[in-house]
Amino acid sequence: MKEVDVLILGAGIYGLYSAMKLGELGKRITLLECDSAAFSRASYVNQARVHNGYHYPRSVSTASKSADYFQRFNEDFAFAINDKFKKVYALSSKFSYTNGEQFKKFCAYTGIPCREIDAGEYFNPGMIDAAFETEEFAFDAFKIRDYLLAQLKGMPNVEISYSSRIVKTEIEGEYYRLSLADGSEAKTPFVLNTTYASVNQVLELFGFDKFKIKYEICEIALCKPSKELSGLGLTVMDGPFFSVMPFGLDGTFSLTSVTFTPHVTSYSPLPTFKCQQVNTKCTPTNLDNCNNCKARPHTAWGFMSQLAKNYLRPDFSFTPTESLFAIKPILMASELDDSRPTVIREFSREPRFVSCLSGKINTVYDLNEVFG
Amino acid sequence: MKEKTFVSAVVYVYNAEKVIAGFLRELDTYLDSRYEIFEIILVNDYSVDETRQEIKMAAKDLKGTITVINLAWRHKKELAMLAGTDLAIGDFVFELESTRPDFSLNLLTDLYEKAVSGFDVVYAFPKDSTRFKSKLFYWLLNRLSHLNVDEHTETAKIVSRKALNRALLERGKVRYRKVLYKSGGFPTATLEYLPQRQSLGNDEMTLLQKLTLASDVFIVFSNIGTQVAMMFSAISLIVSVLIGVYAAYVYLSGQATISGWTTTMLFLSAGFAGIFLTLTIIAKYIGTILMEQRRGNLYTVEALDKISNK
Repeated sequence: MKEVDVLILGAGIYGLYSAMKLGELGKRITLLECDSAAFSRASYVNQARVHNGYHYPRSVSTASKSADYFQRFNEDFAFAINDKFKKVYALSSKFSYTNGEQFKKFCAYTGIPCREIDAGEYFNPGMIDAAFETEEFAFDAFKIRDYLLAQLKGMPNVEISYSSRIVKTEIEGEYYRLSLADGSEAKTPFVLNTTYASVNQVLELFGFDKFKIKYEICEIALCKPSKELSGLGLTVMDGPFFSVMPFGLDGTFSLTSVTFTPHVTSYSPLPTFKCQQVNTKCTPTNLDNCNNCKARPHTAWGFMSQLAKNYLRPDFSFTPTESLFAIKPILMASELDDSRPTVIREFSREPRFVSCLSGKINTVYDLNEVFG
Repeated sequence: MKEKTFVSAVVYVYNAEKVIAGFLRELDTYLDSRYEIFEIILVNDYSVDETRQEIKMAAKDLKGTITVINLAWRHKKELAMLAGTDLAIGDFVFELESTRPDFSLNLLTDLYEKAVSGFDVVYAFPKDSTRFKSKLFYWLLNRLSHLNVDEHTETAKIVSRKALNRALLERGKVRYRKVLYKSGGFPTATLEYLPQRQSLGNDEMTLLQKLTLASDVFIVFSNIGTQVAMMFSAISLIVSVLIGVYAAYVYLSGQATISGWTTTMLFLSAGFAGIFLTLTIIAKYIGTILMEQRRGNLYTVEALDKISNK
C-alpha cells in the first residue's frame, strides 16, 4: 500500500495548482484524475475569462475578490493570457437587471476601470442602454495546464494517476485508507477534493453532507470571428443575454448565452440526467466526460447566434467550429445575487478532508489558506 | 423540407389552465414540423389559476425551446405582448393573441408565406367578426391621423424583424401594436379566415378601459385633442371679443339701461378674451411638446427605390 501526505482529487486547475503548491513544500502527493488527461472538463470548457469582477454587478463581494486576484493571475500566468483585445461590456435596454447608471456606480465602488463608449459602434440601435470599455482578459487553458504539468514533472514527490477512481474509503486512526478501481490501495492523512461537477459524488463516497447545488449541462460554442469582430470581446448583461469573446490565444472565439448555454438542469443532490440512460457509463455517482459523450445535448448554436445577431452590428459575424460541453455545479445560495463564491470547507480534521468548490479560474488563490 | 428561418411565437396567456397544455403541444408540433429552429414565448399575464404549473408540466416533453415570461401583476395584452416581442429573437415573430384560437394552426403557414412574399406585417382576422364599435374607432382614427389602419380585430399576426425593431424603438408609454406596426411604414397585408368555431369572447377589457385606450391612442397618434381644444378656445376668444365690442358700442352710444352693466361686461369680455387667448397658446404648446416628446422618426419612409439608368 502506498502512503502519501496529501491525496488530491481532480486534475483541473485547482488540483494541479494545489499539487504544485504542496509539492513545493516537499509533501508527498498523489493526484487522482478519472479522465485520461488533465484539464478535460470544466477547467477547459468555460468562457476562458480572467474575471475582473464586471460579471457580478449584483454581488460586490464576488466582484471585489475577482478584481483582487486579477492582477496576480495575469502576472503568474502571463504566457497564457490574451490581453490583446478590447473588452466591451454592455447593458441591454430591455430585460436587464442592471442599467448603465447602476453599472457605472458598481464599477466605481469596486474600483475596476470602466469608460463609457458609444454603443452604436458595436450594437444595433435601441438594443443597448449603455456600453463600457473595460479591462478583462482571456486565458489559454491548455497553456496553463502544460505549465503546471511541467512544474510537477520536476517534482519527484508528486505523482499523477490518470483514469483512476476511488471505490471505497475507510478511516484507520488518523488516516484514510482508499481502495481504487484498479485494485490498488492508498493511505493518507489528508484528502483534498478539488473536483467540480463531481464534488458531491466524492462527498457521498466519504460519507459527508453534500453541498446544496444544482447542475447544468453547459455548452461553450467555439467559432471563428469575422475580421471586424476579432480584436474585440463583447458581453451583453445582466439578464438573458450573451457573450462573444476570445477563447485563448489562437484567434478562436467562444459564444455563450445565459439562456441557451445551460441545456439541462438537475436539482438532485447528485447529478442525475436523462442522458445517463443512454450513456450508462455515466451515473449520478460517477460522471463521465460530456465532451466525448454521444448522448450529449444538441448544440444550441442556432439560438445563441440568433440572439447575438439581434444585438451585434451586421459586420460582426462568426462561423461555428465546434461545441464543448461540461457540467457546471451552481450553489443554490447563489441563485438570487448571482454570486460565485469559492467555498472551501473542512469536513474532517483528523484525518483531514477539505473540499473546494469554485466557479472561477482566477480565484484559485483562495486555496492558499488550505496549504498553510 | 423545413424552413431555415428562425421564428418566434409569442403567445398571450391568461387564466388558461384548461387549454394551455393542449395548445402548447399543438403549437410545438406544428412549429417543429415547419421550422428547423424556433422558440415559443409565453407571456403569462398574472394568471390566478394553475396556468403556470400546467405550462411547466406540459413543457417537459416538447421539442422546442419554451420561455415563459410571468408578469408581476396584470399588464393587459398590449404591454404583455410588448414584453414577449422584446424578448423574441426570431427573424419573424408570430403574435398569437389567445390560447383558444378560433383557427387551425395551419393559418400560420399562410401568414408566413404571405409575409415572405413581401409584407413585413401580416394580420389574420376572422371573417365578419368586426363589431360596430371597433369599426367606428378605426374609422375615426384613420380620419384623424395619417394612419390607414385596418378596421378588423386580428387574432394572429406575423411581423418581420425589421418592422418589429422599428416598432420596439418607439418607447412611448401608450402602446397599441397595430398602430405602431402601421406607423413603421412597412408594407402590411391582411388574411381573412373562416373561424372554426365561435370565438370565446376574448374581450378582456371593460368599456371604460377600452375608452381609455382609445382616447390614449387618439391623443398619441393624432393631434385631434389639441386641435379641438384650440378650436374651442379660438371660438370663445372671438365671442368674448365680440361681446366686448358690443358693450363698448352700448356704452358709447349712451343706451346703457342698467348702471354698471357695460363696465362689468367690458371687464368680463376683456378677462375672458385674455384667458382664452392664453388657453389657445397653451394648447398649441402642449401639442408641440407632445410631438417633440415622441421619439419616433420625424418622417417614415415606406421604401427607397434607386433608379439608375447607367
